[in-house]
Amino acid sequence: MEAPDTFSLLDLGVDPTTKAVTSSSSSLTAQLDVLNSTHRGLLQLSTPNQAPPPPLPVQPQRSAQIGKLRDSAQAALKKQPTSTSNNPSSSEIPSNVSEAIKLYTLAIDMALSRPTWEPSGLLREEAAIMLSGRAEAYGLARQWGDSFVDAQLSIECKRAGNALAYARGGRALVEMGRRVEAKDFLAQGADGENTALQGAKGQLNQLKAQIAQAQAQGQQVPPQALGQVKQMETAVSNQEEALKELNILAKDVA
Amino acid sequence: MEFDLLSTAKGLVLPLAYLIILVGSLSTFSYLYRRRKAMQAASLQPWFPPHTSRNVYLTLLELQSSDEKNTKVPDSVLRAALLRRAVEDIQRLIQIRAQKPALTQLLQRGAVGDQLMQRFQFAEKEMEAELRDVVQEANALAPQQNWGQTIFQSAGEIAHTEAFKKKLDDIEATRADERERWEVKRKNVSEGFLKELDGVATKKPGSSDDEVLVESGGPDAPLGKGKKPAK
Repeated sequence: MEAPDTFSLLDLGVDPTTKAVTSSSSSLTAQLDVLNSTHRGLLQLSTPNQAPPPPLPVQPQRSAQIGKLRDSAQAALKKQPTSTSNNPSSSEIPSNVSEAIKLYTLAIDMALSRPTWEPSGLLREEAAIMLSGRAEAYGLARQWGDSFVDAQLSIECKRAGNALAYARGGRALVEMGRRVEAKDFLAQGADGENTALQGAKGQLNQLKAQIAQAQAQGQQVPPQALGQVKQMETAVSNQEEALKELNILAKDVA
Repeated sequence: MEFDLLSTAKGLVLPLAYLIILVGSLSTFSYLYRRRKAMQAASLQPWFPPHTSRNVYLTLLELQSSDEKNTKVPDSVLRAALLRRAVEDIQRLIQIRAQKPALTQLLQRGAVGDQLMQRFQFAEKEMEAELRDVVQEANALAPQQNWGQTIFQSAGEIAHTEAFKKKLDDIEATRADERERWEVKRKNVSEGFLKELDGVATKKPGSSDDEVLVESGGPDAPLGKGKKPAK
């Protein structure tokens, strides 16, 4: 970097109509592309001055839309029993499954196109769920290659507490006949998930103990805390179930 | 004895000359030494490569202030450029934080020279000035919002998200391969499966795979996928 009060003047220009920053030197192209897309993103903001708002609180619209897409995808999967897919030789995909895949893909795009200055943790969380869902849908369509990739993506998004994605990825590998890989994959998943589950349980117990203590002292427990406990309880039980599935699968392969 | 100015002055010449030579040589030495030091510091290789986002921002600012009518830079572009600059700052900050303990340890063991540490400290100082500058600029560009207080939060999220999306892209790049691999296998398997459909009901389609061959070791297992349809 140059001294604090100097800089190197770059050969830049601004397109008078699109207001895009341009340069004649090709080494800057990638950087200016990012800059221009950031600019377009900023222009859509409704904040005064169109500066990005602080990461928190988050506008709930996008999450709501993603949730809606996910619900309709799950509804599509349930719509009709996938009777035609029992024949593995038929490569055609049941219409409800392809519908679900389409919906999940939309949801994933929506989750990943969240403005980058919004919390990356939220982005990961949502993308992980959607990708894991699409991995399942691809599995129902017997497109195990895609299913495996989606499971991997989901795990990359959320490394702990994502037993379902490990199970789906492992299942895809088994179905593709790659048992050695599946064994490693599942063992790694079961290992990590076990620790994650213990951690989540510990957290839950700690919270419960805190609430019990507060109640014993006659303090009013805020309803949010109780809601949080309920949420954590369902999350933990979901995790437990998924881990069970994962363990069964891992045992099968081993 | 009578005070004789001349002889006293004569007597003082020697000590005075001694003092002048001493101080003179010391100050010359110190001057030269300092100048060399300063030159060395100036010629130190910078820790980071040129800060392009910063240059872009400052160039745009320069363009705006020179204000030729046709290349008027709107403030929104400046804000975007400042945000990118903050993102690059965050990336550098993360690097500095990660490198500091390792570098200190190496220095203590004498594994690296002083010069490296000097370069690093120089970079740290520059970083501080840079952060302050960005906060000031942000406050100037979006005063109602007090943007300076949140710009680095936003930039931090951007840096994280970008790093994480890069990893996703790496995995996504394997999709075409995985898909093709499975399609090829599915074709082989389904051909074999159709023939064996009434035969071994429990056998999974995946059993024609080589990896399974090793595990099951069945003597009747076909050696290749090509053999199966011929059965």
